Amino acid sequence: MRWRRFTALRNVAVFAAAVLLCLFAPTAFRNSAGGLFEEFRAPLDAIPSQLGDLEKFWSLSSNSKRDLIEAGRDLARLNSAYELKMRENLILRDRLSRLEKILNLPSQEKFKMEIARVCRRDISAWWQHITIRKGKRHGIREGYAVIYGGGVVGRVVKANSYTSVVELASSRKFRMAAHIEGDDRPIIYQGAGSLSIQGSHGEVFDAPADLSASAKSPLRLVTSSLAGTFPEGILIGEVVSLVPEPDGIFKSGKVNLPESLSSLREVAVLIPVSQVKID
Amino acid sequence: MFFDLRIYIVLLVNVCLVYVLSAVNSELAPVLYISVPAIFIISAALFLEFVPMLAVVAVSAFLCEATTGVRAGLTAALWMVAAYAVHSMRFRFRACDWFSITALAEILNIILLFFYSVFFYAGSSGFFEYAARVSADAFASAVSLLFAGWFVVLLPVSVANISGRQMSINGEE
Repeated sequence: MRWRRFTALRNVAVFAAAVLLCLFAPTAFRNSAGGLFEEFRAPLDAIPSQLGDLEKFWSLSSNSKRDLIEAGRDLARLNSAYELKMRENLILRDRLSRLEKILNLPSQEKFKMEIARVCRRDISAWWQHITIRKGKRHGIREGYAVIYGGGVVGRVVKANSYTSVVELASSRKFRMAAHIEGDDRPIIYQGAGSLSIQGSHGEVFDAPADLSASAKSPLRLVTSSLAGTFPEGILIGEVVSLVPEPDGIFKSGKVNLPESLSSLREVAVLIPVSQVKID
Repeated sequence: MFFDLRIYIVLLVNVCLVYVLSAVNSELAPVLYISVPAIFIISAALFLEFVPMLAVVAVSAFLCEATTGVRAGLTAALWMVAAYAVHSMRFRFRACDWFSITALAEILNIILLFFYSVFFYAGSSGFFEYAARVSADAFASAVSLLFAGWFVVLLPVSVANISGRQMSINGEE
């Protein structure tokens, strides 16, 4: 009887201690424990993506020689076109750097792109994240901008050794300075939070009162250099409505984000050139 | 206490479930999000002793919340409270039949998702939109539990049987 009582008391004490430790342990301790589990979990997240790559490889390797020859021929044509473009690019870059030196201007090249594959999408009412297969080992740090062919993806919120977590532009925690294409006045963009089935969206605040937008004539919202981590002029989405705010000075409205944002396979992380030089 | 093979079997099954859920949610995004915390808790709460159960549930919770960006430790605390509740009434589920296990999983999952919706709320453009999305996800999770809940909860028992160990709801009432 006494032993049972002791066991019950011990269990309750252990339970209370464990719950209190989880809730009230110092933030640094809880964060380091979270980071440890995140590193442990990283391979679990990367495996489906790696297996997908392997599957693609085997499906491609089963193609007939004729298909491969045709694909090779098409690629050779594309390559020669790209080579010409690359030479043209190189000449233009040389010219630009010469002019910068002559005029003593700061360099225009601010970011280096690090291409990374998306290995996991975690999009719910509470969080909107994607995990990419590159991390600190590849020079990625928290706060770096992430973009893709269609525009802004989001911002790196956690960089582990081999993976990084990116907060999507549709997340409520994502907020940045932006402007309408062709209009330099800054406005504030914020993700709308819970994603609906119809597509992801965001909101704009503090838009000048003379702007107007509708679903038929949307305005293109692009990044502003004021945002710091993003280069100027990258598409965020389309402003489809603008209504006056209660103060009557500014307008706020809805932004439709590209549908492809939630089905990305590959993204580019923008690493500041100054950081690359330090590394 | 921690040299019991059953603990590692339950933990291994939970790690596999993290992997499967992660892959499924990646493919379903952004249309639906399957959130089934109950399946990580019930096996441990029914078949393990008290302290190992807490350890297994805490480790599983930290694994699940690792990439979510919510306050570290909150999920673990919630799950441990749920595990404590299930563990204290585990003898009611001694038969391990489909109905009782599925009902337990459904009820526990709904309660946990309700707490998630309160504690993890990070703001949204409208309350109705948030409630609709959470309800849709909760419904999808409930449907998936209806089909897979019983199988997943008893999966550690099957693995233990294969490895020559018995796993049942025992201990003093």
